[in-house]
Amino acid sequence: MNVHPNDNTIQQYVLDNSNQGTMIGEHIQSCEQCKTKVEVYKLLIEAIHHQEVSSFDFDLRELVLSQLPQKKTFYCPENIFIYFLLSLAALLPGALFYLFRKQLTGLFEGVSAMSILLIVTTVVTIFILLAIDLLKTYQQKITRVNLT
Amino acid sequence: MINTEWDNLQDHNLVEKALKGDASAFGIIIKKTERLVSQIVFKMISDSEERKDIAQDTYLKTFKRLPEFKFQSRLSTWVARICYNTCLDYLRKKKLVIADEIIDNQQDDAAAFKFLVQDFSVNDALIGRQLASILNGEIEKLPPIFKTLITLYHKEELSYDEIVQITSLPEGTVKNYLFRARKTLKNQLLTKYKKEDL
Repeated sequence: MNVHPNDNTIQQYVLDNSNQGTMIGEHIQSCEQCKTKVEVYKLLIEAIHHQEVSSFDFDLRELVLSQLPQKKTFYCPENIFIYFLLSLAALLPGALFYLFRKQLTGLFEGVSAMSILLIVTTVVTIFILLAIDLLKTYQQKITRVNLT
Repeated sequence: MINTEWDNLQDHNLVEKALKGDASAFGIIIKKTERLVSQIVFKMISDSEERKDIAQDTYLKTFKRLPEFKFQSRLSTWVARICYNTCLDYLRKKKLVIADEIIDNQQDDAAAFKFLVQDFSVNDALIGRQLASILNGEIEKLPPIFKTLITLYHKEELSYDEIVQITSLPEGTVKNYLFRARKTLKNQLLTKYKKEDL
């Protein structure tokens, strides 16, 4: 091979030792000019490898962690408020029932105990399911707000 | 191979814990990937204050997108991709040059080659470091993407595949940019040697 390989070929030769025995490899071994170019590229790559590693002059980990949304504990103010509301929701019907028990008892005169039980169970179940759904929606929204 | 599998297992555990709200697990993820992120940020962004903002932004985005990470790549590669894209967005917003054309019409000077090779030896680590400090200035003159690719390939020793995953550039483009960047550095070194010789 009498024509000198171009720069890309020389670089490829430096990076890839498998073409040592090829025509290009043989030319490079026999041509001083190309051999010197190979040495220059080897020096260059070695020098890049010896470059200093850049690093931040601050504690990135602490900086980032301090900005992340904090994990809520069982007794955090938000949860305490929710427990309070739930307690209120449970106590209020009970209190109302106790205060107006005579009128309410009169309301269900003639209605069998089974029917009353069915009505009460259905109402309570619907109420609980609605409350759970409301809580889930609230938590999803809060999570989205915290992440943005 | 075993190290890679062990790393993957560790990354799986860390991601799982971080998703459950374990802040210390996410802290470990930051420590494990900080070196690669710093290399990308330092090469892409020249302003030191902006580097701090971009580094923070990278990890806040990583935290937000952690539920989407499905281990289709290494965790470090995924974080590096977020970092690279954050840097690109910043450069585009500031309308800064990302990868301008490198004009290459310098003729090879055989004499300059010889002096360079005589003065520095590949086998001498001390001399290699001296050349590294000379080269540092020349690398800083390259466009951001070229600097980053040179560092990722030769310093961090990432494969073409990993670099493609980080930069979303086609493999051919990555190789082309690397060839051009190395050639430019070679020419700049030779120019320095020619001037000193005079």
